[in-house]
Amino acid sequence: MKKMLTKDFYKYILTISIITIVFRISLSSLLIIETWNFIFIPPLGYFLLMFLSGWYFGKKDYEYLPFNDIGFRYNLSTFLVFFTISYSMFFLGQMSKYEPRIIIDYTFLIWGIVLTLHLIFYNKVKSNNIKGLPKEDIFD
Amino acid sequence: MKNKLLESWEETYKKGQLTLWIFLSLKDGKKYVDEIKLFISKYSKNTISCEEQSLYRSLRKYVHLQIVNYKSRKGNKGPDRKYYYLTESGLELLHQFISRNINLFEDKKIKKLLNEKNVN
Repeated sequence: MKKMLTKDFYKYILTISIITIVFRISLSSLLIIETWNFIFIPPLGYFLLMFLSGWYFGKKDYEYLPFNDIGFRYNLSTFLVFFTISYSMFFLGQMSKYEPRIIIDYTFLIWGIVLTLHLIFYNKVKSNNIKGLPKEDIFD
Repeated sequence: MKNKLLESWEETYKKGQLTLWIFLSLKDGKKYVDEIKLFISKYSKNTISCEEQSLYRSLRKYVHLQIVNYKSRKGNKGPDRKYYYLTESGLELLHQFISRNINLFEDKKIKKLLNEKNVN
């Protein structure tokens, strides 16, 4: 996995970290001032920006080196970034009263299950790789 | 018809040949991408052509797999040039590939068959 950390992958992590911080702050701020009419904007914007970041950096990354990890690096890094920021904000007392810890815990649990399944599939695919590259694509 | 068949056969045959030619050019000495391209077109008598992008892409994969490496040196103008070379494991891989796949054609019987025009 260490060998699969490319420049574009680091750029992706940096980008999603910024997007996640902006999302968390904007969502909590709107909830604190109870602006219900605009509450859909942060999650919608977050979803769109995260999707575009994954698509853009994932494509660039694949063009650089065609790693065959069925997106597991991206899922794992997004998981780590999202929960590091979310729990940090929670423990620093930066969240609104409408964002109890149980919501983050449940999200962690559900996403954790999905991530575990992803890991199982990734380990199956990995056996066909040499240093992360699919055998049939190395000498194409 | 004959020409079309030949073209079709050659198209399939040439796929996968690029690696061998890249490795041969690097066995000849350290080279940057333009020199590799020149070597390939010269010694393959223009039968193997490669796009610069696909050459870079292949080299990146080989560098990642540590069968090729590079040293940066100053070019005549502009940015530094990457001079690629075969690593020890790359050289070993090439020799294994040649002995298993290319040296077969050195067999007397096969050589004779390759050069004869008539069917026995």
